[in-house]
Amino acid sequence: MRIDKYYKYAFLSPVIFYILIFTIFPLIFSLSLCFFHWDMLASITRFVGLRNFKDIFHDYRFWNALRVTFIFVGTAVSLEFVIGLGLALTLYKGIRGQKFIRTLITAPIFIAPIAVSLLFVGIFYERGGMVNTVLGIIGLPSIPWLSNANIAIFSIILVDVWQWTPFMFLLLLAGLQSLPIEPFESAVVDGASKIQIFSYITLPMLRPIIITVIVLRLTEACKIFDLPMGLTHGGPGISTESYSMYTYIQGIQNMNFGYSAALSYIFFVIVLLFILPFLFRWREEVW
Amino acid sequence: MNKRRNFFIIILCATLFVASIVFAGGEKEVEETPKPKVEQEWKGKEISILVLGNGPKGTQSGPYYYWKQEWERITGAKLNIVEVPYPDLHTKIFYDLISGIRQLDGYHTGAWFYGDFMSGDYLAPIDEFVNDTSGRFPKWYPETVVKPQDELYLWKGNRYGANQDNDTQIMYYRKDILGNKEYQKRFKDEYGYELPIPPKTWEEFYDVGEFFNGWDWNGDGEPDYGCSYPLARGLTGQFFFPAMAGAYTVMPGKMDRYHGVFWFDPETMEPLINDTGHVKALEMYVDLCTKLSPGEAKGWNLTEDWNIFLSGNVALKQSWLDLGALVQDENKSLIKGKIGAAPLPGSMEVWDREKSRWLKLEKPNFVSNVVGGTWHLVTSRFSKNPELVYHLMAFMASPEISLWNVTHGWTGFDAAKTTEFLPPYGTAKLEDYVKEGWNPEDVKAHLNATFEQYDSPTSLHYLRIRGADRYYDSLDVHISEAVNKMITPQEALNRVYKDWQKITNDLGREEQLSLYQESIGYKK
Repeated sequence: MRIDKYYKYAFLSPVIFYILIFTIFPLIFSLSLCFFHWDMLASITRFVGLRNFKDIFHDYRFWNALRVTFIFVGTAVSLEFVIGLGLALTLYKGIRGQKFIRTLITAPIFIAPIAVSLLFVGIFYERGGMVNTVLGIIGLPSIPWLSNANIAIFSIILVDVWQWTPFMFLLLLAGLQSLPIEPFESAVVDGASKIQIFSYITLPMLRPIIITVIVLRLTEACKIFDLPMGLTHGGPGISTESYSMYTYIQGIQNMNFGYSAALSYIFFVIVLLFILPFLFRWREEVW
Repeated sequence: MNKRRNFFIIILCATLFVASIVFAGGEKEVEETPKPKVEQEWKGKEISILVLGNGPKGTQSGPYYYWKQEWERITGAKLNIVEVPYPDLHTKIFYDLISGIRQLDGYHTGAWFYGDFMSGDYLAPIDEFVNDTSGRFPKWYPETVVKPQDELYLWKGNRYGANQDNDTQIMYYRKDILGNKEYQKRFKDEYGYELPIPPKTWEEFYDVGEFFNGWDWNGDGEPDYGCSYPLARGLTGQFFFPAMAGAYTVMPGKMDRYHGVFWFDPETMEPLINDTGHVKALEMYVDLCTKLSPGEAKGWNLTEDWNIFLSGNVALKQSWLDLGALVQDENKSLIKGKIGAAPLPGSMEVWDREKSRWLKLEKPNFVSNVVGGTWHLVTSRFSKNPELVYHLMAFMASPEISLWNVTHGWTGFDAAKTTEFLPPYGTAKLEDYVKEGWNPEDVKAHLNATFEQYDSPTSLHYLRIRGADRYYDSLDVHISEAVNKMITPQEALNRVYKDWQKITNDLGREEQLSLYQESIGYKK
């Protein structure tokens, strides 16, 4: 019995070691960094207590990054869900060329986001870019997709929707296909309309999968970095500077690690508070 | 069977024909390049350098690829070129140094990284090698480099770099368009004074730009522009504004607390960036960018911005010297032989901080600038082969190689040595440029304007303090906000002021002040 116990620890030790080194240590180390001004470039390390946090709350770029990120997350994830669900509902009842359409729709997921951003720099290019050329042909004015501070964020949302709607679609389609057929048959026999079937049967039965995909996309979207970096560098001005991007600029570009660590932990708490209701709901629904 | 044989014979002949053209071309190119003395002292050794990456045929990295084979032949050593894109350059250099990896022997650096290099004592001085008279190293004659550029390689009396690229901004203009008699008459009728060729003040620059903005003056059927600026964030925005703002803010005269300074009060390290002079300059800059430039320029990088001038749609251009060379490439440029060049405009009034008033001048306040990278190779203090890195930088800076680089626009290297300027400013010959495809009038205008820009008695000092990248990032971001009308110029510069105060406090005010005074040569 005692030997079995040792065996157990021996087999677990690589995983425990891995978690300690690559998860627990960075977490504790980065948490401790929040209370220091650590500038590697100038070899300056001094304890500053809560000053990094105080500075962050007085930093308007922090508030801007938060605003940009939430506009992005709210709009992009909502659109992706609505379009993804619409596509899944359309395609889950066998139509002609379904396999081909499904493959075509899912293709964008497999492209690296930085490659997507480069692709869309060309597509959104104002002088001779694909979209504005088409707009010109049909007699519409050019749109400053990436150079207008009010439009650029929506261009980024559009690209994200293009890339990640297929993810929603795939999971929701799988969810729809796994639903039992009997409740639907009964509803039809009872004379329920299509809207009633959708509202009272499809949606409630699909809820666990809906919560799962939304939680997955929300957590991913909160970390948005590649698209604004590749498409606009956070500009014009700071109109598309996402939270991850600002954290990167402070930490990696400016090598201001204490401030950057504090930014990360604040965001961790905000995202946790934002996602927690979904997680509780998810726990109830899924487990 | 016969058909197939004939087909293979045709393919073989075609291959031989193409190969003969390719090899004949290659041989000609090698013949054109100068061949320095062969040394084999370093046979078998190897160095790695990090360069601003634009590929084997692109600016900055291209010349290293081009000369690599020749340098390896001379030294017997091996050269590894590591390319890094511009936005990541600072990070990659300093991660190599700070993290202890230290795989790189040299860095093709921007001069604004010097403060960071010096704060960590990361560079090896090269004075010993420069003064070496044994003939081990190629000669490159530092005394021939114009002073504002040469000062960027020095720190506390030690030398760290040899001259390669040279960045200053001058004004290019379309002499054929500005010289058009009909346009001149219309300008005079509209503005009440003769069309100035070239504009001498920023106000004249604006008037000329405004006159040529929004209508088709080149006959291509499309409206053209007065000027243009590359305004994408995170790239080069932080350099254009200081180059033009100097005219409004740098008081002429011997340097003291109130004269010859632009960035900070040299006694307190308080930023000067939001004073009345800077704000007026930014108001002008925002007007130039928003009223006279293409709307889409707000998303443009440097190349996109240059392209619209090269395509003949812009009348005036504030630019680095690369543009003068690019104009000569008829594959990209429609305006070869049509450009004039002059130092950047000045201002008839300058903000006097001491007396808090505008000082009216009788002649425009021209301020020279060395904004930009002035990209050059420096040696890591941790390199095991510092003399080999120096050999490479001396090789690249030697008169023959340097002149070859300067006369070939794709290298991105620009003139700053007397051996590269035409008489009366230097000893280069017009034929040196003309044989490489330059238009003679363009060369004269380009080189003379460059020398005159450097030669101004009042100059905008280069920001070389520790954390310069952070100061520049803040400037870039807030200028971008002002240009995009998200905030006013005053608000933008107030934000820069606040950021700069914080950065200075974070890095240590006393240390920063001392570095700033050293970097601009300020003495009480």
